[in-house]
Amino acid sequence: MTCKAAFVFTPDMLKYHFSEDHPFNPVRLRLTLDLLEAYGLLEQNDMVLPRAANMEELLTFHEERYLQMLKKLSEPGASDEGAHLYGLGTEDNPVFPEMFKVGSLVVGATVTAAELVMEGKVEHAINLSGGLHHAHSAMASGFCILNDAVIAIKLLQKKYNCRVVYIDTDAHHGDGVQWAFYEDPNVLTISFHETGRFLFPGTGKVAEVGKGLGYGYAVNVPLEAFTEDESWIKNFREVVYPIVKAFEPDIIISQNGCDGHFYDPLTHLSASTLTYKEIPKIVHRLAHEVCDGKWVAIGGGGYDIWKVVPRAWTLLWGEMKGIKVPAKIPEAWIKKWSAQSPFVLPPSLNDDPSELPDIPRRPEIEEKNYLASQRVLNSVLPILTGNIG
Amino acid sequence: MLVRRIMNKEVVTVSPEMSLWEALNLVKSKGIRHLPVVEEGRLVGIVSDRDLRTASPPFLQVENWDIMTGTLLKQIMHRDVITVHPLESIDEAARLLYEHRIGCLPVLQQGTVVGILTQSDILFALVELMGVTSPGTQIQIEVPDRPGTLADITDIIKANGVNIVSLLTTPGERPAYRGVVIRIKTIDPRKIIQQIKTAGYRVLWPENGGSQHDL
Ligand SMILES: [Zn+2]
Ligand SMILES: [Zn+2]
Repeated sequence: MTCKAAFVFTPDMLKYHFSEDHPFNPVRLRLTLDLLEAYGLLEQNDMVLPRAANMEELLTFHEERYLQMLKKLSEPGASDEGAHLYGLGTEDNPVFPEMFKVGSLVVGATVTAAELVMEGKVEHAINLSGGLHHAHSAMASGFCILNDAVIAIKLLQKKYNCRVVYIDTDAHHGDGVQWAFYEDPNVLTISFHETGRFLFPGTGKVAEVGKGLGYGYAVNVPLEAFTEDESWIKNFREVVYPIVKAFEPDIIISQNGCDGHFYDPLTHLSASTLTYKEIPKIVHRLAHEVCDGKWVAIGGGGYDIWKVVPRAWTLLWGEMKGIKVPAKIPEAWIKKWSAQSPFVLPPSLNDDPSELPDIPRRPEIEEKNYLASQRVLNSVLPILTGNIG
Repeated sequence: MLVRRIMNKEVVTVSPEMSLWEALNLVKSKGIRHLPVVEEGRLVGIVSDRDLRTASPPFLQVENWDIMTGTLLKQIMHRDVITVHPLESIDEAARLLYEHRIGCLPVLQQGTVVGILTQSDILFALVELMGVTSPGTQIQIEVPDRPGTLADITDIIKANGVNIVSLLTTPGERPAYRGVVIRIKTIDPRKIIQQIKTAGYRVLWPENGGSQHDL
């Protein structure tokens, strides 16, 4: 079964680029687009140009003084006085040209994707530049300036009165989105991530379940470092299915950071591309089962830009279109990029089993993950199904 | 951190003439576990919910009713109360609770009860102190127990232009070493970790084999 899906993109989004040697590198989008084209997966009909988010939309989440600072820093030759108070001009989030304009475009692309789906123009829509889940209301954090997911959800609430499920499988906790809706029972946030014991941002504990009216509407499954496909996929399926079904959303937004892959240099999870094939499959099926297929996918982290991101996001788009993508990577793509790539490019969408790391602590890791997901189900499911006490 | 910052300032105190029955109802309705007993503004004793239950008859029958209403707190309270001053440090307060195996400390200033501090107040304060208050990466470093090591590490972090969110030192896994647990405000600690290692310190980081070390 093929589905009608939109690929929201404009080359201007490639300008979300902090500096030459910064790990968040837009070349990964170019590589992904190119791989999709080499596979023949991107048709002209699929492409939709985004609009930029306007000030009114940005203000549904971000504070005015923060937006003014971003605007000021975007001007050529601006001094970065006071920028540090907003997490800007730091090692993680350096100032770059036109950062306000480019940031607004990335937000606008996620908003566009959400509108296309709600207006019934497509069943699914994707913005791979989005997924900037760490941005806070008045603070840039972890490579994220403006929070596209939060603003798109705010719009979905205001314009369409939606109940929204946000599913985040980036290796880092989806803190910015979680805190934005922590007291809101109409937005259910779910985050699977590496435990914050070492990893940034440190939050995302099982006990973070929401507050006030939103109590029970935040879900966190921290995975142990070195978690592999089997444990990740199993726990994801067992937690996400019953919880999303009980919530009955109008639309699902999924954040698809792929920095939990074992090649990723910033994190310690040990997923292969199998995880990035299975997660979209589960989300896709759920969307058709619970909300007439309404599904918006956004990007996220992913710092092995050569060996991981293009493959993971090709699998994601293939799933969205309902097309089974052949595992063998087209020769043309490998030929085109080999010279520039510092690594040998993988020949298949599937990782070679002999490449997978050996994890002697596996039983301990699987046990810990299973306990975390059981604790989550026990604490949240009774609230969502209304069977408390 | 001082006791006055984390103590409960709204203390329910009772008179030594209060009956067992009244006191039991009071702890139940207020959801508290300790009652300081005060006479003419002075602390004269303390009772816990456990003391009250121990003094109560097992079955509430007519013949036991007299015991419930006739027993007064002055007959069952502990008179040698261990107290603490609001300017005492919370680690000293925690030590008192631990050494005397008690659940709470009335906070006394010039003879008057100004607050009460329970085991859970101290635990909560500790959770807050060790918890995550701002996004960051946590690194654990083992350093020899000699002057200047902490400065070496903070210098490296400073040179990288990264903020420190919090810092804690621990006794360490091996003798003559200490643990340093630092939260730094960055998603990418690779350079900092590399430089700390190059400076000769052991950085504890997630491990896929053996057993996970912990400082
Ligand atoms: Zn579909
Ligand atoms: Zn991430």
